[in-house]
Formats: sequence, structure tokens, C-alpha cells
Amino acid sequence: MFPSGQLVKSEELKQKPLEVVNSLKEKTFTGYVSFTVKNENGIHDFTVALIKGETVGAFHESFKTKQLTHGDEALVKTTGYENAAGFYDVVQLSEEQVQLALAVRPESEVKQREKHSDAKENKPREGNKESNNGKEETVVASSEEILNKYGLSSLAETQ
Amino acid sequence: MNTINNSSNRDSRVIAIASGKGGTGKTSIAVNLSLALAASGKKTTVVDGDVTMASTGIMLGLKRSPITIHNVLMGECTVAEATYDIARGLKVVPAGLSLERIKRLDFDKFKTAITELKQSNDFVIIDCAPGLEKDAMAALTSAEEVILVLNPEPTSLADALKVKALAERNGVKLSGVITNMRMGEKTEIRNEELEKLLGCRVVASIPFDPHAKKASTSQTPAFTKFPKSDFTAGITQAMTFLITGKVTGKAKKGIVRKIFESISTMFKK
Repeated sequence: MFPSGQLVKSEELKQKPLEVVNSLKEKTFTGYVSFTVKNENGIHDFTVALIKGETVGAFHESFKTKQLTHGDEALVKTTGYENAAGFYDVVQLSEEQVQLALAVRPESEVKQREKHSDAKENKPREGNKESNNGKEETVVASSEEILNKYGLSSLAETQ
Repeated sequence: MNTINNSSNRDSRVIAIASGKGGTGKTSIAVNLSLALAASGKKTTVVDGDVTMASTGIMLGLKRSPITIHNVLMGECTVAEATYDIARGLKVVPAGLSLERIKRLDFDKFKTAITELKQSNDFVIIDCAPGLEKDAMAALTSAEEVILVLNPEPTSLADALKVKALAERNGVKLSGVITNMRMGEKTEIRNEELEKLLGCRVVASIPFDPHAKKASTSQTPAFTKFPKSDFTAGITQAMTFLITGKVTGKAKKGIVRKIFESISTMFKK
């Protein structure tokens, strides 16, 4: 699902997957962590995507039942596996790469976003703000004021 | 070889790329966006709707096009016979270069041609003529949606507002705006202002990029020739919007190719 990024860590799972995810949240990590674990119910593959420590996407596959779940439902599943053996990979991506991957597979998007409570907020950009996903506030004049500003007030009738 | 994509498609979209004003980079964007869509696995045909100033085929490096949209509009052939394979699954219906028969063109046939193309494509992209003459109106009203291309300055905005008004009066939905050739000057119209006036999202904001001109002069689309350029990054943004409906952050230089390759792979799954 994700483009190739920078492999940060690839090791045996010695803690709960949830603890791995939480540690990435603390670090305001952007990218994904992919787990392959085995328990009494067989082998499971699941991935959690994060942007600046916020869980934004997830999917889960059970090889035994061939069940594939996405989004919030998949994220819930990752909180289990307390005694599972397995491996995990942590791969760093840019925010745009994660967003793009989720845009292509929107069913994997997590609606109930969670981030670590200590995660630092980015400072808002200053100056003219380009249109983005709507997370920054920008004061915009009314249509009439904008038309007047650019000498196009006679076009108000087209509005 | 004259061909047509051979698959039925109920979800096909017909999108006009329009601006009102000439010189906004509309044809470059229409051509490269079409190529990006085709490369991502979408069956795409781009139609040159500028029948008096043909440019789409030229920009794609189409060397020979004996049958064009002109012949279709004179009732001499079907649109399938005027469709040419380009590369990566993109097809083009070019316009003719001759001025001799322009007066005999029946623009009412344009919509019929587009309807035929719609049946076998995921996307039909119409590169509209500038202005609001018959050819431009025929192209605009044959579409279901329009994406406005404009430069962030008042004259371009003025013309775009007129196109928007005409589109809405003819039941063509304004799906998004692409700003092109941003220079980063403080006097340029901001994207938020454009969104307020035009009532829709700026789906891609493309800075001034000399690669776009170089590509045009070499008759090789920037998407192919300069995949890491700012222009191609903007095209990728627009493509992502058309496919997913989401406006994404600007892709950084250098990762556009990686992302694109991933998208191509994903769509093939």
C-alpha cells in the first residue's frame, strides 16, 4: 500500500504492538509500522500509519481466515496480540507520501484520530497561507471585497 | 493507428480544462494531466477542443494525423477514426491545422463525439479553446465538469469568472481550480481568495517552471521528460484529486516519481 521509504527498524517483536505504536506516537513519527505476528489464531499482518505521531490509517489481515479489515476496525485489532511472537518494521515516510497512500486507499483511513498527549504541535505557518487540507486558519475577505481589491467589482454580477 | 479504448465504463468522466484567457498553460496542463491519468491506469482520451488553433497533438509530438476532430465535425468520419494512440495508454483526438474548412464545422457534432468517447474511457479530457466563441462553448458544454486553469493575476481571474458563470448556466459543474505559473509575488491573488470567489478548491498550485516551456518546445510532455519538476508535481496533485477526490499537499520534488510508481502499482492490484 505504501511507497518505499526509509527503513528505520526491523526486529523481533519483544513487546506488545500497541507499545510499539505508542512509542512512535511519542516521537511524533511519520510513516508506518508493519507487524507480522503469530498466535493461537494463526498469522496476522497489520500496519498502522502515522503522521506526526497521529494514527491516520490502519489495515489488518488474518491469513487463517483471509479476513481483511481497514481503518478504525483494523486499529482496534492491533491493540491485541499481547503474547504474540513476531516481527515488525518501522518505515519512515514524508507526510505527503502517507497522505497520498491513504488518498488512494481511503478505506484504510482512521476516522478516530489519536496522538500522544505529549506530542508537540507544529507552529502554524505565517504569511500568505496556500490552500491545504484545511488545518490552518486564514482570514479571507468577502467576495465583494476581493473583487474590489483587484479592480473587478463590475464582475460582481457573475457571483 | 486509429483506435479507441475498448471497454464500457459507466463511471466515465468528461472534464473540460478551460480558462477563458489564452496563455494560462491550459493545454500543457490538459495534456500532462491526461498523460498522468493514463499512466496511473485510467483509460484516458484527450480531445483538442481548440479547432482554430490546434495544439494538443503538437504538444504530444503526434507526427501525422490525417483525420482529425475537424473531419468528425464535418460528418466525414466517426470520432474513433480520429483517435490516435500516444503512449502509456493515452489516446488523443487532435484538431487539424488547416484553416480552409473551419467555416464548415458543425459544432453540434462535438457533443455527440464526446458522448461516444465517454463510453470507452475512464476520463475524457477536453482541452478547451480560450475565449467564449463557438468552439470554446461547444467544448465547454460537452463536458460534465470543468476545471479552471488560471494565472494568479486579475485579468486571468476575470476571464475565469466568466467561464464559471457560463459553465454553471449550462449545467457544467466546476470541480476545481488549478493555479499555474505562480511566481511567489506578494501581489498575486492568493489561493484562498480564488477559492472564495470561485466557490471551489484549488486542487493544484503550480509555480512558474521553465521545464514546462522546455517540454513544450521539445514536443515531449513535462510529465515524461521532467518527472521531478515542480510542474509535474503539480500535475500529480491534480491527478490525485481527479482519482481520489482529495486535495493533497504539494508533493516534493524528488519523490514524485516514487509516489507515481507506487500509485501505478496500486491501481493495477
